[in-house]
Parts: sequence; structure tokens; C-alpha cells
Amino acid sequence: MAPTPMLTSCEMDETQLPLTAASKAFATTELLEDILLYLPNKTLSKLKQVSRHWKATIEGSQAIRKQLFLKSGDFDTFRLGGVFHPSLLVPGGTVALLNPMLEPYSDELERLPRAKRGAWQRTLATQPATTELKVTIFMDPRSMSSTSLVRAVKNDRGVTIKDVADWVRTFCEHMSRHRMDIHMYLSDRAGLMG
Amino acid sequence: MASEAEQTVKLVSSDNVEIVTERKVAERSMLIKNMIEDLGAPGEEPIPIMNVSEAVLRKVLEWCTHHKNDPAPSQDDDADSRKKTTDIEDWDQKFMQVDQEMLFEIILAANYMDIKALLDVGCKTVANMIKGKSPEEIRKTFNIQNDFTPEEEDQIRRENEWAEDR
Repeated sequence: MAPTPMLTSCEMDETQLPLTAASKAFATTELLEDILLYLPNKTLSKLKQVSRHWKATIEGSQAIRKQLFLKSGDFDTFRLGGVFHPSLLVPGGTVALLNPMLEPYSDELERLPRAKRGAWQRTLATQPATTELKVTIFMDPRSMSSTSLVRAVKNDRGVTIKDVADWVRTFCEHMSRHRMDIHMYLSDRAGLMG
Repeated sequence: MASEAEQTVKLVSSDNVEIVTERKVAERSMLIKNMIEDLGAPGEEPIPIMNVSEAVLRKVLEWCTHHKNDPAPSQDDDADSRKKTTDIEDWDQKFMQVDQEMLFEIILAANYMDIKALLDVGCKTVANMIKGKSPEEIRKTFNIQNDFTPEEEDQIRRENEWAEDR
């Protein structure tokens, strides 16, 4: 129930849009941010379409940018938005999160080389960011011992999904259409950025 | 002077209604806790809760009463709770089954009164309402104005196509 306004102000407000508690809460950037941080990444990207204010909040929030893999962030301070993120164990015992788009065995990984251009390309491959990611492609998904190709994908500002996709795309163009399985792991701890 | 367990405090809502409650219950709110410490003499001076109406304040105090014996959150707990899912414990879930206006009034009050755990429950509840809805359905649910031009909307959709097509 809304706080009961005094009679005079009630009459004045008649011509204006009613200010609901929801609109007050959403207009408070920190509250909208608090709510949005509980949502998975795919949902967050889609929510930019709701309104200008929602788009500005999603694009401007440092915490949301970290969660969306757009800004390097410390693994420990991550809120996972209620979704499972595949993680990588880096030599030395540090844990990094793999961008959900790179989850091994997922359909998305196979679609990566053919995906349309979009905001997803700018997202980091891992959290925290890494300057080097070793990507291994197995020719036969059922056998780990089958022919494989290893390539270190590098980016001084942090390896992005675009970096990975570009290389996989180049690889696909050279090969005939094989069903592929892609495994990825971080090359080493020194590559992790804070 | 009464022992801390028996101490009561007087709160005054935005619509000028006085509510007497246990000090321990009221102190779930960091705003009230700090005010009591500043005032020095709990129970005598009424504490104004300027932005919260009687109905909302009673609802918030109901939550505080149920959670009055919860351990105070430490710095570590805070980091942990951030990693947790949108799961909400049964009692809280039932408590949040109110109309939308009240739900957001509780969130605004929890924010103003600085009750972190209640704010978390409220935000999770709204997040669960957003999950699985299209942008259009979200606008309809919360009465949000679409202030994009059709061209802008189209461009944002294309930018996030990967996210859309699953």
C-alpha cells in the first residue's frame, strides 16, 4: 500500500502518471542494479531492450559489466546470478571462470564460428581476464586421443570471445565440415589479469 | 533501566502513527540501530521513520521479528551471499507474497532503513519475477514506458542476437 498522501497533493497528482513504488525503486539505479545482479547473463543482455534507463544501468554498472564478462573481475567477488559457470583450474590452484559461451560440449560452442556479429564478441573469455588461452580442437568428439590441434589465443588486454571465435572460424574454413569438439583451458597463471 | 532484552523503542511512521516494538527487533535496521546509539536513551524519544508508512513499517517489523535472532552478517557472509542463487527460504517466500505495490514499498523501506537481508530477499523476489519474461512482458508487468524508437529497439535487438535466439 502506498503512503497515503494528503488530500491536496492527491488532487494535484490526478493529472500526472501515478508514481508507483515499482517506478520509484527502478528509478533508483543502485536498487535496479541490485535486482539485475541476480539474473543470468543472457537475460541481462536482453533486458537492455526494456527502456533507456535499464539500458544505461546495465551498460554503466561496473558490477554488471564484470558479471557480463565485459570487465575483468576477481573470481571471489562474483555473484553468479543463479547460473552455473564452468570453471577452470589454473596451475597453482587459482580458479578462473570460463565464459558460459565457451562451455565444453555446448551447442553454442559449435555455433560460435557461424554466429552473427554482436555485443557478445566483446565479452571476455574468462574471469578474471587472461592474456593467453590455449584452445584445443579435437577432430573426433568421442575420442580424446584423436587428432587435435592446439593454439594459444593471445590478447594483451584480455582474450575475448571474438579472439577465440576468429581463430576457430579460420580453422573451420581450412578444414572440411567436421563435427568438432573444442576444449579450452588457460595456459598459465601468469596470464591472469586482476 | 530495563535489561536490553526487555527494552522497547517507539517508532513513528510517515503518516504519524506510533508503533512500539522490541529494541532487538528494531535494531535489525541499521538506520534505527545507529539512531538509538546516537540518542543514548532508547524508549524515551520517539524515532521518526520518515519515508515509511504505517502499513509498510508494520510489515517490515514483522520480518524483523521473525529474523530478530539471526546472526549479524559478517564481511565473509556478505561475499558468500553474493554467490548464492535466487533461492529464498520458505518463510521469506511466503512473507513476500504481497501485491506488487507492497513488494516494492518493502524494498524501498529496506533500502531506506538499511536492512540488508530484507533488501536481498526483496531484490531476489523481483529478479524471479523478471526471469523468463520478454522485454515487452516486463514493461507490462511493472508498467514501464518503452521510450525507444522502433529503430533503436531494433538495433539493440540485433546487437544482442546471440542472447535472443536460444
